[in-house]
Amino acid sequence: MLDNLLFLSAPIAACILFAGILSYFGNHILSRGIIFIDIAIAQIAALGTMIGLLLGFAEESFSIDIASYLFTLIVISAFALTKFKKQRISQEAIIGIIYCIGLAVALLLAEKIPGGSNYISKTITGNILWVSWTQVFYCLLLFLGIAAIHLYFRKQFVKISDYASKEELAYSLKRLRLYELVFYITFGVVIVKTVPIAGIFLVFILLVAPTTAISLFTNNWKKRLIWSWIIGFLGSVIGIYLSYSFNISNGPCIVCLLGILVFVLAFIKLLKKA
Amino acid sequence: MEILEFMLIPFIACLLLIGSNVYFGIHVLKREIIFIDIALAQIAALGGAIAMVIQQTMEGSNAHEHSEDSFFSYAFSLLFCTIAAILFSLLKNKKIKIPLEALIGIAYAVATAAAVIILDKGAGGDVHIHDMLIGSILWVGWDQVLKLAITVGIIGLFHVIFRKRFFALSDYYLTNDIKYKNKSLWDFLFYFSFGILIVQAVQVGGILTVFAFLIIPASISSLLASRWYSRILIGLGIGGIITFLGLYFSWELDVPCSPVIILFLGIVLLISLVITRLKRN
Amino acid sequence: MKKSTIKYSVLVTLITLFFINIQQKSAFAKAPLKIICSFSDYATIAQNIVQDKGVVEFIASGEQDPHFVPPKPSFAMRLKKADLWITTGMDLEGWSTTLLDKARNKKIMDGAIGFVSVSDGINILHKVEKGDRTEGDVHLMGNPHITTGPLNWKHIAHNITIGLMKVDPENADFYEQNRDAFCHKVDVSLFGEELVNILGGETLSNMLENKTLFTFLERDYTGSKLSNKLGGWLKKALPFRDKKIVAYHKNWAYFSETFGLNIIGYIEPKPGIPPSAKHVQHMINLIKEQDIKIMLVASYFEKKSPQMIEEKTGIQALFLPLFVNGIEEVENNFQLVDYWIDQINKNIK
Repeated sequence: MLDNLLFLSAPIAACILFAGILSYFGNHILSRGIIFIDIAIAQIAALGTMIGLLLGFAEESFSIDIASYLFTLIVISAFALTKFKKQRISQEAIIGIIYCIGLAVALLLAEKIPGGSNYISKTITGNILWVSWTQVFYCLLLFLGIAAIHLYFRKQFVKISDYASKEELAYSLKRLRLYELVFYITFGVVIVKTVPIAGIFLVFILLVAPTTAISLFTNNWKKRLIWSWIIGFLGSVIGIYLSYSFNISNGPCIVCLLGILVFVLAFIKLLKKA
Repeated sequence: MEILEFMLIPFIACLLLIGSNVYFGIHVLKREIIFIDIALAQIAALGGAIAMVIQQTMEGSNAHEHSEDSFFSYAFSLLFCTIAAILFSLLKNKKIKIPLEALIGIAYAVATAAAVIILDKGAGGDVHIHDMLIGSILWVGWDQVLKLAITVGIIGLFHVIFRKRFFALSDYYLTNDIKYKNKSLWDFLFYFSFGILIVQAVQVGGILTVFAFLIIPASISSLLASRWYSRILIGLGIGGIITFLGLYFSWELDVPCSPVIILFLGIVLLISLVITRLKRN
Repeated sequence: MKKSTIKYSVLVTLITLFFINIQQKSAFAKAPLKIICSFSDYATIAQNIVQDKGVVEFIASGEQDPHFVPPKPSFAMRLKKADLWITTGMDLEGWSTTLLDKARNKKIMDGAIGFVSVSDGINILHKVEKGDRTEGDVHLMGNPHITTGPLNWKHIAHNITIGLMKVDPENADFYEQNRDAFCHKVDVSLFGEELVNILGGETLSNMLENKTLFTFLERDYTGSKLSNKLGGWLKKALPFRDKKIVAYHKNWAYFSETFGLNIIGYIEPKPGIPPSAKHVQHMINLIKEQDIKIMLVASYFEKKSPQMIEEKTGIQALFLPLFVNGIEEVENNFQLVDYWIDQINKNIK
């Protein structure tokens, strides 16, 4: 039985890694209230790939990856610069609009590209079960690099996220936008890297659910970071186990597990005497 | 002349969709629950999938019946919408300090995942996996438009009668300042009526189109006006013109029409943004 | 003007009009049939049969996912004017029902003479038995990817010819001749000219379907085994006959039946539904234990997942276009099968 499950070692390692980096970002995302940003980024990245294909690059080539990253970074930088003191249109709405238009353009381009329907958001599937140790290794390196950046800027990033719900700005507009730029670019890179491996819904749930679960009960950043990582990791591992025992599709299993957990916790909080 | 006859029904359908969605869009923007319609549509689709599985298990392999259109599956979609509405109105509470959008997002992901699992284990058809993203505005028939019109009419009437209450609910949604009796009840009615509209609208236009119609005209109008009535009118007016242009160009370029309309809406949004910035300076 | 000039010009005009009329009449009498197919493979077969008496078009392009074809305005307009609509007739072209509804062309609705369901009469694989839903097959009426089996082309041609004869009975003989020529070409491509001359295409096809062909070929004929006279695709495919492979999705059922490829597992049997941990483990073990070298993947799938599987298990993913025009060099069914057999032979070592 044990060596039957040996093939799960790489996926579980990937889950630890992904849960870690995504739950960290998730805490920021939750504070800023831009929940759907990763779905929007995934679609933009897919659009970037389609543009690369249209420009003639082969699907397996490195240039396609670059096209995808480049396009994503351009769009997300533009987004970072849309932060104003008084938002006529909220940032989440801007994300919704970006997602919407990105998807529309992708649909128009889809028929000009062989296999174009693969790049449209609902069908961006992936399966973390097929991940290899090489991929895990590269992700580790990448995430360590990004973690270093975030360690350096941690005070600033936390401050910005905390201030996101207030009317005043955390820093001068110019400085604020610069920090936002660094934040969103690193975030974009993580999303573009993880979605093809794990699939869009698994990434989404690892981003949002663990932090929502813990943020129901505390505002303390340290606690939120530690607990969201733990919840994310446990959720994925238990999910894989359930998928194995009951022969259910893997990604959806983890999503349902973590998602339902959040709702149960929300109701517990609701019914608790204040 | 062929093109006119071809385009008339889609045009009317689009007007109905834009009109109803502009109104709800303003609500949604104020409440900052942007992705609610995608979530509701997916939850309703989950209900429909469950209904289909139940039907198939009871009837055996009568697969050729396209049971998505049956009353049974519609009832189930509404049922699930109701459950979602109850959930969302209950969870908007002082004790819950996280943005409702997070819960909406999680509900969306769970609904999608659950639908996949249920169809995997229970049903035979892959009808819903590649589901209604673009929809089929160009192919819509008079009967569907009629159904849509009736729905819009009833929901619209309901919201016109109780407009003051609904306006106030959304205006003060985030600050929670409002001193209203039965706030949760009215919240529930809001989500429920919205859900009914979404289910009908998505049948005609598809999830992406409805989402775009919900967000973009309302955003454009928010840049140009601040009163409810002006915003609704602006949204409707711009929406109408864009639809007309979009339908025309999709015909000329021979491409699906929803993406074209969405692109044009995006362009108008950009122009409005630029105008607002310039006016400020 | 002189009276004679007027009389003369009137005469000339009348004669000219008369000839123009005759020309127009003949043009109208022989307006080519408008034939629309769902897939490019049906279009090439139909073209063989109808030749210059019809104009054949198809809707889903060769590299598209056949389950998912986004609708364009021109599709409905073309269908409106069509005389014949050629479709699989199972539940593969779900996207076509709305198109047909909008086109409102009575000639080609289901049941009318212009509606051709090419799967009639074909021996359908993987039909779901009553009450057995544990495998949860996506296509309840059986595997609809009938274009991958050359034997099926003859049935397709037969059904298309029936449709043509109903719509244009005058040229029935013409169509039947072309159909017979096409079927003969299929036989020769499959079995080689020699065997067809000795035993006849019909007999050979029946034996191939009943899986009695190769035992039969062990017999002697004028001094040597019949199997020595085997030619065509079946001969070319001998190197991989009975070899074990896996496939990404169930697109290749009919091909593998005909050419003896043993597909022992599917990575993602249901499109859009990622497999469970149990299934993944099962596949990994299967590939290792049976030393599977190749995974067939239709080229409309995205490459990332198959590539991940390659890395994880060491298997090689072989991307093949599912339809004619899926890649540039393949312009008709025969070239498609040539391409498939060549590619598999190249990579099976």
